[in-house]
Amino acid sequence: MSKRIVSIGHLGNYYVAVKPILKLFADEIIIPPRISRYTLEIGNKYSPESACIPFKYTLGNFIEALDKGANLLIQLGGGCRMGYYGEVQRHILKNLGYEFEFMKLTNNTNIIRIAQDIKQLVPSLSYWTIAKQIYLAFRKAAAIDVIEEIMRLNMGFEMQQGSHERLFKAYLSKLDHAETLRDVNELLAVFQKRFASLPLNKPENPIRIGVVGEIYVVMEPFSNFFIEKEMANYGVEVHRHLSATEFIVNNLNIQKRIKDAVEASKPYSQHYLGGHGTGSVELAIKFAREGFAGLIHVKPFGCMPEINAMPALHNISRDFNFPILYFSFDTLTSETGIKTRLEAFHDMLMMREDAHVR
Amino acid sequence: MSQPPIIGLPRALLYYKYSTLWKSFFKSLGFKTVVSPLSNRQILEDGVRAAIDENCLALKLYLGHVQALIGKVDYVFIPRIFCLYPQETLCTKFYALGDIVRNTFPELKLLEYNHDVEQGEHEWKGYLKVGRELGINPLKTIHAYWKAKQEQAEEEAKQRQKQAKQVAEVPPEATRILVTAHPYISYDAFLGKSICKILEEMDVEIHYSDLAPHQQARELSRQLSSDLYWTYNKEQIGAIEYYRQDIDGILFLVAFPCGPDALVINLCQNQIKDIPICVLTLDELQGDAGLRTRIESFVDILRFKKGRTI
Repeated sequence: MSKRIVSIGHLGNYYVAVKPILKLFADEIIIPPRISRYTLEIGNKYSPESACIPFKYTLGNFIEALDKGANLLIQLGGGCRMGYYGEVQRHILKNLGYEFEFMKLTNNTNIIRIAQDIKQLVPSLSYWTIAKQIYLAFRKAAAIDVIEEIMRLNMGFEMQQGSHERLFKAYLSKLDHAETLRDVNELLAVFQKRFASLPLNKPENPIRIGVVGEIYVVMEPFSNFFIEKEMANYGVEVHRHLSATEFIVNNLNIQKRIKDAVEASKPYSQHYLGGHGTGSVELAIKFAREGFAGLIHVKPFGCMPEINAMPALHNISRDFNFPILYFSFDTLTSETGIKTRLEAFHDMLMMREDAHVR
Repeated sequence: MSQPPIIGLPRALLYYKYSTLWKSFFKSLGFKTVVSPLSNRQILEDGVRAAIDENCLALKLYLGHVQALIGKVDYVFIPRIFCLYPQETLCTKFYALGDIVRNTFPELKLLEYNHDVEQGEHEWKGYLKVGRELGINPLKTIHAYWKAKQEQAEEEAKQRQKQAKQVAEVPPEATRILVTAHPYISYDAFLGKSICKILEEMDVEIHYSDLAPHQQARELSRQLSSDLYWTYNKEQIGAIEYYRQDIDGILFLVAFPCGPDALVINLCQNQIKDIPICVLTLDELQGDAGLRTRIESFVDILRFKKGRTI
C-alpha cells in the first residue's frame, strides 16, 4: 500500500489540536498553507457559484494540500449544507484529475464512529490508544480555547502593543510539540500565568461586545477579516462563547442541547432553526440581558440557518434596545468596507455609553 | 354562536405539495379556507420588502403570500416539516417558516404543527394538535385527517398517471425536457409557469421531476448521490435517473440563492455527461427577454442534437 499522506481543512488554530488523531493513521501529515487570498481564489474558481464561503475555503485548502502531495483528505461537517460538502467536493476534485481518498466525518459525527473508522484504517491499533489520542486532541483544543478566550478579553487593553499575540505564537508552537496529556496541562498552567502577568490597562467596567453567527466564519479569523482582533484594538472585551470545546461537548448530546437552546430562545424563536441559528438567537438574548454594549452577527452569504435567525435578532435588537451589526461574507467582501463599518459601530457604541443610553 | 375562524393558506412552498390535504382537512371540519392569490409582481414586491434580503426567492414569495392574507383570515396555517424519513431532512428554510413569519408579522395568529418522524412527531399527531387548538373533538379530527390524506393520495396518483401516460404516448420525434425543480418553483404562476409556457409554445414535451413515481425515484437517487439527505432534492435527482431514457434535456429551475440546489446541481453537472443540462437561476430582477433567449437556444441545441432541422 502506498504511503498515507493526510491533510485536513483549516479552522482557526485547531490544526494543532487534530494532529494527535491524524498521527494514528498517517504516514505523513500535510497541514495546508495558512488561508490566504490565494486559497479563496483557487477554491472559488472550482466551486459552484452560490455555494457558501466555507465550501470555497475548504476546497481551496484541499487543492493546496493535494498540490503538496496529500492523498487522504478529511472533511468535517454537518448541520446544514456542510454535511453535503464532502460528496460535492470529492466530485469536483476528481474531475480536476486529483487522485486521493476521502474520509468523511459528516452528520451523526460521534467519537465512537471516528474511532471505528480509524481502527478500520489501521487494524493494529488498540481502541485504548485511539481513545487516548482522541482525548489528547480534545484537551489540546480545549487549551487553545482557554488561551484564546484570555486573548479576546484582554488583548484590547495591553500596555505593550502585540504582547499578547507574541506570547500566543510561542504558546502554539510549544503546544504543537506537546506529546502527552501532562505536557498539555503543564503548558497551559505556565502560559496562563504568563498571560496574567502581561501589563494591562483595563478599566473596571470595560465595554463588552459579543460575536455570534455561523460556526466556520466565527472560528476562522481569516474568513471574518479578523474582526475580533480589530474590535479588541478599539479597547473592548470581545465575548464569543462559540468554540471547538463547546461544539464537541454539545455534540455529545445534541438533542438535549437543541432542546435547551430552543427553550432559551423563546419567545423569539420557538423551533430549531438548523445549524447554529438557534444558538445565535440564544446568545443574543443572553448578551442583551447581561448588559453588553452590542453584538456582531457574522455569516457566509446565503447561510440558511443564520438568515432564519435574523428576523428574531431584529426583534431582540428592538426590544432590548441592543445594537447588532450584521456581516455577510462572500468572495467579494472588501476589507476596507468591514473596517469602516466596525469603526462606525464602535463610535456609535461609545456615544451611547457616553449618553448613558443603557 | 360566533362564526368559525377562517384559515389562510399561503400559495407558496409546501402548498404545492399539500394543497389537497390542507383544503380537504379544514373543509370537512367545517372551516372556511382562503388561499392567497396567484403570485404576481405585487406579492413578490411585498415579500422582498418583508424578507431578509439574502433569503431565497421562494421564501420571499412566501412572505408576500402571507402578507396578502393579512386582514382576510383569522389564522395562517404553517406546518413545520423537519424530517419526513429517518436520516433525511428538508432545507433549513422549512424548519423556520413559523419563526420567520412570527417575527416578521407579529400581529398574525399562526396555526402550526411539527412534523419530525425521528423525534416521534408524526403528521397525524400534528393534525390532532391543530384540531385541539381549534376546539374540535379528536375523533372528528382524525376522521377528517384520514379522509384528507386519502384525497391527497388520489390526487397525487392522478397527476402521476397523467404524466406516465404522457411519457408513454409522446411521439419519438418530439423534443422532451425534464423540468427539474421544486414544485413551488415549477408550478408558481410567476416563476415556473411562465417558463413552461414558453416551452409549450415551442412544442416541447414537458415532464415534471416531482411527478416521477415517488418510491422508485428515491431509490434511484442513490446512483447519482449516496450522501444526499434533503428529501425533496433526492426525489428530484431520482426523477432524472427514472426518466433518463425518455428525455432529451434537463432544465433546472432554481431560486436564487437556493442552498441545497447550489450543491446538488453542481454534483449533477459533474456526473451527468450524456444529457444536455440547462440551469436557469431565477431572482426578483428577472427579465423575460433574457429567459426566453436562453430557453430558445437550449431547445435549438436539443433539436440540433436530435438531428432535426429547426
